[in-house]
Amino acid sequence: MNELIIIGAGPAGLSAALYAARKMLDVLVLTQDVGGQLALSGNVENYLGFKSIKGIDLVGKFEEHVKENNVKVVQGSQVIKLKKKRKKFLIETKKEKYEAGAVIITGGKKHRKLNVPGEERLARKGVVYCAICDAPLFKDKAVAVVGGGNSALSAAIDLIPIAKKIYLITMNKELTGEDIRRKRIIDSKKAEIIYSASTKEILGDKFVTGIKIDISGREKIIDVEGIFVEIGWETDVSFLPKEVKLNKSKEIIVDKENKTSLSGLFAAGDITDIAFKQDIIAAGEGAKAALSAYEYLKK
Amino acid sequence: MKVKVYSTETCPWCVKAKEFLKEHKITFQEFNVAEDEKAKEEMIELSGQMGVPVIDVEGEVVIGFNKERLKELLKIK
Repeated sequence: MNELIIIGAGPAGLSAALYAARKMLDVLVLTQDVGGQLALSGNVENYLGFKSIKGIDLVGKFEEHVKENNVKVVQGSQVIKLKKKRKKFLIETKKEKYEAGAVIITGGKKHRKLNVPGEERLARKGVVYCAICDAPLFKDKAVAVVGGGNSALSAAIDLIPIAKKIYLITMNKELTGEDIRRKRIIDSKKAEIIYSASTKEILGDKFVTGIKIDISGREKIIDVEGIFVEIGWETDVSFLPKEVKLNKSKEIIVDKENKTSLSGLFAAGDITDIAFKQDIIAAGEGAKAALSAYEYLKK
Repeated sequence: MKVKVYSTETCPWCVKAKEFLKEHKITFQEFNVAEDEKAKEEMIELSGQMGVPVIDVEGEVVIGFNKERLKELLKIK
């Protein structure tokens, strides 16, 4: 049994691990990957001490710092169940079972899915959730970007020099996101913006061949080989027991000491209901959660 | 051991995967699928999908940077 288990290893989880290790707690980190959303961001220019650094490099620095403090990180572990029995937490991943005296959840957010037929079956087969990774594979192809906010605009801009044609499909009557990005798309001859359109189905046998959309009640099929889903982010809280209170956006409600509604269970970072989801804020919240967990364990 | 890495320059997990291999002194052949159309087709054929990185260890195909699976295949402790 570990004194403390931290779920997730983005800025919140790694910062919590560092603080817990320095409090000499016996700590274990369970995570699918290291870095979370930060690993996939381009250049970070607002993290104190770094004028400009690639997301993945900043993650590398966090990881190095944590490892120097002898924290054990188990990668590739997806938590599927968590419950509290008397004073002990029981955690189940797809492969193993763990026990802990206290738990900090820092699972962050993951790409929101469209939840339409064909999406799951064709994921990584033309359906793309990491534009920065996979955009270069669509050289001279027609592609669709679904979404109208900044991440959709960024994906579309990245695709301009690569793809043959880009359909930007948004549910709204106009694009949101920064003006400078909107202008680059509107000015591009390769991009076509389709407003007031919702995605109905992703088509294709082995790989994506098209997208079925509904434009104000009228159905249309567009032939594309890539579909970039950029409709925002959501939390995964499916493994939590019912006692853990969530807000309407399925974020875990925490108090100013990062306590959740279940005693001994703490949460930090983007998975919680705090204002402003930023890397530096997540790191600060992770530190707070670790200090609170320490106080709880020493009582 | 014959190791092939199919990747793009922009993909953070590809960078991580290559760093991991270098760290464990594993030599590998690298293919940039953004430029090399033939390698791209080969990667899609091998893995049945279009996401990078794809790592081929002696014919065993690993999709994404799956550190645990790589450790297993490369017998890294």
